[in-house]
Amino acid sequence: MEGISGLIIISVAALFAIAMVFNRLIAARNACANARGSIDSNLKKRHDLIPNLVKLVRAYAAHERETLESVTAARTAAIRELGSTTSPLAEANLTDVLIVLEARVEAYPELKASGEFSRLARTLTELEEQISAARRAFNAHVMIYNNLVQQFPTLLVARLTGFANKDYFSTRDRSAPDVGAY
Amino acid sequence: MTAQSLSPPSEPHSDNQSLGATFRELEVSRRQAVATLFKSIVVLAICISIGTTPLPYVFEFTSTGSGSGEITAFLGRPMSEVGDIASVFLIGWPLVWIVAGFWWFRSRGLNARSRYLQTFKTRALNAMCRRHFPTLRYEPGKGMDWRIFDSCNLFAHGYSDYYSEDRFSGRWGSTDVAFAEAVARRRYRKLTLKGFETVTETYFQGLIFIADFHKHFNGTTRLIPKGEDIPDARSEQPAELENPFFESFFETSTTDQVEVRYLLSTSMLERFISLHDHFPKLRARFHNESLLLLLPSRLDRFEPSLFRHAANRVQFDQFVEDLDNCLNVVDELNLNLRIWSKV
Repeated sequence: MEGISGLIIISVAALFAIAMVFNRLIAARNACANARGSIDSNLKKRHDLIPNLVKLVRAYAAHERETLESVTAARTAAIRELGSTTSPLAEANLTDVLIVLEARVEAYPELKASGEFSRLARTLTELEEQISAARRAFNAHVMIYNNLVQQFPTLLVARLTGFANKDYFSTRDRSAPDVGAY
Repeated sequence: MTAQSLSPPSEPHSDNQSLGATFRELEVSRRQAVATLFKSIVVLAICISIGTTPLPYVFEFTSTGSGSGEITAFLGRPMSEVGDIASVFLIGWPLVWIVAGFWWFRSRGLNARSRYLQTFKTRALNAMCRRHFPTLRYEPGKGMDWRIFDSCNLFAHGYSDYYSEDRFSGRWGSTDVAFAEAVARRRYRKLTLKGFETVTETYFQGLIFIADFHKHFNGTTRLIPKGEDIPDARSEQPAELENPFFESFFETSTTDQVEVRYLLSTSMLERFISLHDHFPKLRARFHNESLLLLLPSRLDRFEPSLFRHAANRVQFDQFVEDLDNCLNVVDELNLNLRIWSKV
């Protein structure tokens, strides 16, 4: 009888420990999803800003048609990929063409001097930093989550309940064709 | 003369003349204050002498042989007859004179000194501030409001005494700033070998520095020195940032894990490490679109010496340097960089 009650106590304690670990995994996964949501929300803001930028640059620098078309194409691709595993790559492409556009704009002092361009440039800089901050937050949460998934004894519960590793969000990892964010 | 009457005229030549006249008047005040201080020291010495000198003449002593003595008579009469009167005289006479001497020293000598220092600050330092830092306003008698210190929530305990002075406020480059010297003490009961004792601890002495932060933000983020007690804040969570040096100096807590990384970008982490080199154990709070820094320092800035000529160049340059060092915080954290939507 004592053996059975001991077994029950151990089982209850084990179940309690499993539940605790499971809840920690869920909390870590939710934190990742929340941070990822923050990245996507800021990326969307950047996508929304680009048409205004393109329109303004076109008004001052009609010769930059090719650059503007590449910006528009990169934006369309980034919107299409938003939330998917290939989103970081698409966003990296968009960042690259925006850098090219920024370099081209240097040749148009009137455009640079316009108040509207200055406002858009400031907003874009702010969004870039917010995206960077959200990416850093996401990666910090992914590290916590991956530690839980890979470390003993939490990995036992993670494997039992189907928690898998997550990839970091790296916008500059161009060589990896299948960059997965989550 | 009030601070307003010293407002600089439009021409630099007149400005120099005005400053020269100010220093001449201050030098006269300084000499008067030094004379008053010395006189009050002499008065104090006389009072102590009057209080103690007659005692050997009015009392008679007998030696017991072991180095100690016993009072046997007062004004030629045995102690058994005039014991009470003698005791009152023995304690009262020196006490009255010594208290009177210290009262005189304090009310005349020290007051003269503090009046001069206050006048110097109001006139000379204000003139210095207007000349070298025209966008700043100096208020020597005012400090940072106790409510600001009280609500910053950067210490795990409250204060018993708080004192702040030498407040500067205004705009430095593109950044609105306000800073002042402050001291905060707390009294608490401590168990020692002798039992419970009340201990007074100065837990903060230095600069309280508030600057408009160059980015918009909504939440609250705090930086506390590593290993110190962290004050309670239910809505905040710890944040681990990527820079190991930064992490070795600070504990970070925030209401928003994304916002903390927006405020503390990788370059800002480096800047805080650099600021930490100048002000170890600094504390910071990002709140309400502004940055509050508690910068510990044992230096008592902006305090002129009574024993230096009012127009002493070294002293004047030291004030300019001290103020410049305070404002360096803005450059150190690059707060004048305004490339974001907050202008």
